[in-house]
Amino acid sequence: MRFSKNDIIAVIPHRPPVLLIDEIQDVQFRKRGVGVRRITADDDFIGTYLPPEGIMPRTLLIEALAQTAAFVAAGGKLMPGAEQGDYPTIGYLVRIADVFFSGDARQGDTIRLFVDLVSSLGAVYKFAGVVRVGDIEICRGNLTFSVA
Amino acid sequence: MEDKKALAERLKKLIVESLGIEDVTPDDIKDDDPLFGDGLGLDSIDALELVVALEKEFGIVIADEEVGKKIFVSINTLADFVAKERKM
Repeated sequence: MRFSKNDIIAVIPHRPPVLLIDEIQDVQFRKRGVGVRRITADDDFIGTYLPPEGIMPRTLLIEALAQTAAFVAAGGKLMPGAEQGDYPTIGYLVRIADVFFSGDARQGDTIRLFVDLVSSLGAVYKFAGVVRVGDIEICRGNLTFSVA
Repeated sequence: MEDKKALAERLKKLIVESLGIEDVTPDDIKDDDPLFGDGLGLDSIDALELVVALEKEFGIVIADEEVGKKIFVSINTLADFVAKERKM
């Protein structure tokens, strides 16, 4: 399943310029999904972070993974007949761990943000995330959320 | 199959290592000490990390928070549960 930016805005509270994903693909709610972001010259961080390089700050890759994971956790509420109370309304990133960066995303690139649920218990969800540009992995890490 | 005492020691080591607890050694944890709150001081984030570690170490899947609350009371309750449910 594929979800647009309007769908994403209906589920998570982030708004431009902090909203860092354009669409979500291949979603299995509460299990996995793939966020997509095209990096353009219009992005606020281009030209304001290491200007000569035109790159996306690496820490924002983690934020983009977190937003993708938040949609995977809560986006099921968009489905017909979904019980709204079954899905979290807000999630707080409480831990990032084992984060490794091995490359950068540059203006003109499309990043793909792969998130997979590692485990959940009650209101706590842990996802493993990987960011790729094309076939090249540029970041990976684990993200834990507390949801309400 | 290891006896309960050996299993308890293994679980203490697993807790300290998987949660990255720096100021406590496995020997500091008593079998009946509460793992959460006033005892070892673990929290809900640690509980999930422990769930992940138990799945890796013993093949046990814990998806129900209520089950977690019952077994994460102490090393003793955890060891009893693992001894009963372990798959490896």
